Amino acid sequence: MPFRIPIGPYHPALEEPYKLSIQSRGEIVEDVTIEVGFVHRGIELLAQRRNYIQDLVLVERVCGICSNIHTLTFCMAAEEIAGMQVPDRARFIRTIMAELERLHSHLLWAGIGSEDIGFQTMFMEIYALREQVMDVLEAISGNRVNYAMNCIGGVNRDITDPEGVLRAVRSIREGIQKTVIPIFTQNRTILGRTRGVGILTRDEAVTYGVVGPIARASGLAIDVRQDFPYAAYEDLGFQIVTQDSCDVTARVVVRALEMLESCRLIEKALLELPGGPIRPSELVTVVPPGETMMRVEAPRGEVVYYLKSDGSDTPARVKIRTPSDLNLPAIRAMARGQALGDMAIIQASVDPCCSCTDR
Amino acid sequence: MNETLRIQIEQIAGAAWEQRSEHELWLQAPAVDVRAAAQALLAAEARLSTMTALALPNGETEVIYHWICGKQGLHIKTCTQGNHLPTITPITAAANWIEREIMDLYAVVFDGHPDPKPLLRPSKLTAGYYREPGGAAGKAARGEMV
Repeated sequence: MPFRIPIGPYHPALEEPYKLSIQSRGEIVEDVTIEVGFVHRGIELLAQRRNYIQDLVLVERVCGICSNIHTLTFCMAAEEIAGMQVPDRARFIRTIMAELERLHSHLLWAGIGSEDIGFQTMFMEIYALREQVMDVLEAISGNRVNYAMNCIGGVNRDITDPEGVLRAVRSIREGIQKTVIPIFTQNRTILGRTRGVGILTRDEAVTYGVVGPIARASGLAIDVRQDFPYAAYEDLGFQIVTQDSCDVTARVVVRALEMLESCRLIEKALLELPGGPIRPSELVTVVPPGETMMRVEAPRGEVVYYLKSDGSDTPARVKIRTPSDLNLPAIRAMARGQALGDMAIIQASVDPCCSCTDR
Repeated sequence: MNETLRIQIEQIAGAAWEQRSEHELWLQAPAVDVRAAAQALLAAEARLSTMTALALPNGETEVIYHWICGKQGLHIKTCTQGNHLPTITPITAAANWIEREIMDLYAVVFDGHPDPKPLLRPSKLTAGYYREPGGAAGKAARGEMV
């Protein structure tokens, strides 16, 4: 006899609200339906009522985890329409901030994923590492989240102590190499709970249009940093990470290895940090008429901004598409035929962000 | 994008691509058969990135289909007829939530959508609550200094 289990919108495993209705026969999941919209704030509508400077503050609040990526993509779209060149030092600082944000996001995910399978020790180890990343972000920007680093044409703050940041990032990399990678790739508890669980085949990944680590864990070699290089990724030589086992293990491993790549990119960017200005001398308040679409690789995958300007100080339209918009529906494909007890880690493996999805 | 696909989409759309930058092609095609275009693009391993809706002063809606084919962004602009467009959700599941969101925010009806229930819209609001002008026109409508 099939039965239905509602989970959420106040979720036992995640801090954000969304609702999952599980239809199961005994312990086996037959189907799930997913509902979002519980934290819909109308950000796109608000963005076309505010000027570009106010919008930078607004879009930074689309997401509490990848806040920097939203201002970065918004600025890049405005710069594209205006035909602006960003100073080299600003391009490198943007890359460093984007990769630090990826590090803290992936570590946050790894901690929550560990907790979801009852691996509390790992949760504590990972969150101690994540605190080191948060300290670096705070040292650079003055903030733990919502860094306010990006402005149209460059960045607001310089990195005044690159050697100090370099030392901190090397320490974080050693922690990831010593703790995160061995446990996530060899530990029996992790592998026992993730191997062969929550399969999303390559074909299903294409059908759902998933992006980011979810796509790369299903064998799709897509990454905006590689396909549409921006900031300083072309200068630094980005290396994509993929896996082809399509299960939760693959998603764990992709994120773990991506953290090492993030550390490598940050270290190289700090060593090669160019001199010069970090932003235009004049504040940019008006964008000439035009439209464009801009993509950036957020920790969870491709973020897309469509921006249309009519030449005034207020955008005519701002469209935001976040990675969780495409990744969340794929939970349905991952869940079918799985054990009820694995639903927590299957959902967590997507690293869903409801704040992003609902905007 | 290969030449065959480029020509195929131009034939379906009855319009020519405009190369706006190295990686971005745009196509203005008010009467494009969006389902035929989607099938051709999916057959060429393109993926639907998202769709953007823009309210037009005449009450219709401009809808832009943003596709990615390899390292090429493909943007197909079309327009609703009586605020209706055919759904492409049965062709690609990626369109499901995107179309539902546009139904909520811009009151566009995607004919044949298999699951047209609200996605983001609170039950107290009627569909189309994003349909207001932005930019200078929006400021003028709100009585703000332009």
